[in-house]
Amino acid sequence: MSSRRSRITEEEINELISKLQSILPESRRRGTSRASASKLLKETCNYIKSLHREVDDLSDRLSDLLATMDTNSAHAEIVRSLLRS
Amino acid sequence: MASLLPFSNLHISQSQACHFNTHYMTSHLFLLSLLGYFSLYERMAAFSYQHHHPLLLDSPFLPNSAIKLPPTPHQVGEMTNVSAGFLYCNTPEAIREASATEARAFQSSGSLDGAIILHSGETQMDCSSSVLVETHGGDSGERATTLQGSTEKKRKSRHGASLSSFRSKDTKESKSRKHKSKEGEKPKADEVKERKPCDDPPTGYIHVRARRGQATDSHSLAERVRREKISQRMKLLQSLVPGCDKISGKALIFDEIINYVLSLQNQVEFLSMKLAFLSPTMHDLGVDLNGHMDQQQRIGSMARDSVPTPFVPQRNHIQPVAFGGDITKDYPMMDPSPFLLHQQGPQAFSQDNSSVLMQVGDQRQGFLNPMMFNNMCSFQ
Repeated sequence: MSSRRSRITEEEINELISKLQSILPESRRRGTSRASASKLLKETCNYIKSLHREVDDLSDRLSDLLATMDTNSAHAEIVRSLLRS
Repeated sequence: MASLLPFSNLHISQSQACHFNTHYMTSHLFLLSLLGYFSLYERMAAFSYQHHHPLLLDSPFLPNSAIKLPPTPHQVGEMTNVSAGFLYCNTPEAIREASATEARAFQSSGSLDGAIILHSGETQMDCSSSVLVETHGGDSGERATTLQGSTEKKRKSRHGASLSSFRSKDTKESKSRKHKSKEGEKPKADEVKERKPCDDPPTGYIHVRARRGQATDSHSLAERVRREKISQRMKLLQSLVPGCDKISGKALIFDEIINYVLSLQNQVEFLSMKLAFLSPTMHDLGVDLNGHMDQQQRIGSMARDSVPTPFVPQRNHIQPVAFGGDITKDYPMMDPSPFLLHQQGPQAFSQDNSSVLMQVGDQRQGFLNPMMFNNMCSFQ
């Protein structure tokens, strides 16, 4: 494992960590000084979970909306074709 | 990086899509590819999350073979092998038995390394791994205590006895056969068993036992605590991100996590775009469109820097296109509507969604107008 780590330098890992930090919504607003890796990982965990919830919620809403829509309109047909693909 | 390939493929399809003129099919194909990418992740997510292998925590303990005890190097080597064998013994029952027998030595030896016991009362597996640590330490401690009393043969036989006892789970018998001081066994076994239930309730912080041959000053201990925290969280993330379990290597895992988060973000944007598309006529919005547009532009640029948005950035015509008095209302309504849709959700989501919707709105204005006119009217 240590030999692999020397190939993938510590710098790359830090770069990836900072990239992850930039993706997370929390760290965008504050100054990017919370470089604590464990906090970052924990935030990533929570963020992924919340994204999952969001996706589920949106999908549910979407399916509900689609069910209530006027199924004969061309509009609905477009959307259905998009969803099917 | 090669591991970022899936996302670069997505970009390639983007550019290919851009080559066509902004026709309806362009975005359609694009959405198709996007959907394909999402469905891949959905399929992956369909696999049940794998919990940690209960002994993943053992791996940090494995390389610990630097043992610095007074006994002869020969014995040290033997002990190393034996302890390595101890570490591989899987079942919690065997571990408990092992710790029960070794606990007396642990107790008697007192401060082997002067460190703390691994609690981390998060899961049962941590408890067992803590027991493992004690076993290991206790093993060497046993050596230390018996160093004075017994002969070399006795120690070897005890090692052999304890090894076989761990493997076969009949510790007490073999111990009583060859062990001198049997009386010390029981009270310490009880102590260990008493101590184990105390390990279960979460303590809230992680103690780390210093391993043999490692520095015991506060800095390295704290460093080790921190590193173990990080590795625990990484494992948690690995379980969350589909397909991450098979990858080894921190950088690759990070890569995968980043890709997954980005794709999830895109998926959220995509879904909310579809939702807004489906429900164009929300409430009567008394929103200042210009203000919203500026905010959306700013956030859109931010989002575009960090998140590879799947849509072609078009910021030219955000103003409502004049198709007709009625229709004009609808298109602007499309953009700010996600703001209301996602008021409950985190702010970041609504911002991202609106930025995407702003762009999508432009595209849709371009090609969907002929189709959408009548339908949009009908929705009023």
